[in-house]
Amino acid sequence: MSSIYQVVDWVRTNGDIHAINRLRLKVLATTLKEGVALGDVTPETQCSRECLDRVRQAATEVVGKPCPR
Amino acid sequence: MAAEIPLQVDLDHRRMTVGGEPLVFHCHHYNTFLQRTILDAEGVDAPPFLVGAAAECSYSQLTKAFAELSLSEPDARKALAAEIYRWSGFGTLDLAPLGPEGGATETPNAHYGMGWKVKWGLSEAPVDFFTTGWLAGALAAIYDQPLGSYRATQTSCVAQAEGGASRYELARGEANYTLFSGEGAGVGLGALSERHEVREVPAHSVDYEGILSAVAGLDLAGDDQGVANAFGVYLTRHFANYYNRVSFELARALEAAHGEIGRKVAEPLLIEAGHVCAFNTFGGIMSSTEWDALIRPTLNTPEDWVHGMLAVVNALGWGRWQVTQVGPDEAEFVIHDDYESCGYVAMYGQASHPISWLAQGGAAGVMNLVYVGNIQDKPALTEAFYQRTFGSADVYRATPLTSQAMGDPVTSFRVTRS
Repeated sequence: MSSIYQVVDWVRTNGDIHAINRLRLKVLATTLKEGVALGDVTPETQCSRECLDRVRQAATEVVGKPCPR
Repeated sequence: MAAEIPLQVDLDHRRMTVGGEPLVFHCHHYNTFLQRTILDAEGVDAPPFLVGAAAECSYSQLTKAFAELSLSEPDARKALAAEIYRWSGFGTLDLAPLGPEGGATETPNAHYGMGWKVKWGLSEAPVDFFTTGWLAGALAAIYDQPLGSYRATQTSCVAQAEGGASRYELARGEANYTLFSGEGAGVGLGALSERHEVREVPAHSVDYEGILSAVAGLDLAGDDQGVANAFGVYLTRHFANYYNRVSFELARALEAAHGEIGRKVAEPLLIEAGHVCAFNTFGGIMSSTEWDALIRPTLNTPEDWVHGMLAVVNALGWGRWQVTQVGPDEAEFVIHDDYESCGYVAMYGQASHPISWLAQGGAAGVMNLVYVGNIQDKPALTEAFYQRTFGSADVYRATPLTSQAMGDPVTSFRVTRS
């Protein structure tokens, strides 16, 4: 998964009903620093490699299984 | 002989206190969901205020309880403090090893550690911030010291291993947690109304006063291990102001760091904690033998089930709950002196936005249990069932109409299908 949109979509599909809200809270500072609102990401949303890694790590924690790379 | 708990019940305001601190029933599902949400928040240093909130509450409660009962000897004070802790369902603590300079104590019975392990599995780090702070506040009260006179650390936790123990170490010195109110800790009942202007409710078959009296008479105290295993959950008779402080501090920290959007990211999870609470505690109550014996025979319609549950909620210390309109399409809940509003105003002054997140989730939760989850059929209250019920396309959501924290006479919600 090479975009933040794909990671968010993966969490929506694989996580429970509060997974997306948890993800937003867990990466709030990281994403806001880059001007990314996790609730509004689109396939075109760009972010840094560090931000994507952090979101992917949080996605893994929230869903309880490794987020595919 | 166990020390007697100086419990005060104010049925007019639907409140109960010990040492002037309001107590409310909540279960391990809510306690651990709320704590996990707070710990999840990126960039928020939560442990200092999780510990500090507990220290504030135990100090406030025990200083007043010791005074009320004229207890001046440390051993008598320790006996009462440990008994209140056990009775509350928090577990057991041996306070004998703790002296005026501090010390260490260990227990295999700790609500937060046990609840965390049951709900989320083993934890890499200690999770009982509550007991850590409770001990710091209690020791200061026992030895007539100002709040914040002891450092406190949890060095091992029941949640870290099967068959483990929780160990806490205390030492005289500068507090390593947030001090909220200094020497005069605690806000007690907060901004309580003088009296409730009770609203009219639609016709129903529920004996509110009889249920209130019967539930208030149930023995819901912790057992010898300090465990209150009731309605399929581990119940605690917890500090309202602990929940208030930790929830509001989270929201304020996020708002300070990121503006309004920070708070708004946390709010759905604080409301979700209310759904979790309703599903497990209300669901457990509505599936219990006590419900079957006392309440179920009087219920004729789904609307009666909502009233029946609200009659029980009135015994939980959460304030006076009324449902002034209810049907399958929508409902309106009115809450007099909800504990979140009373606490918020006393801690921070009038709010600029609704803050009764637990009540908001609880109101929607009752409707979802009755009209979506068909709790009348006694479904197993599993995580999968929770996900199905609260993830349903027909799920109810509550919208604040008024907020006592914002200056309105009551807090109220409209609950509609999404």
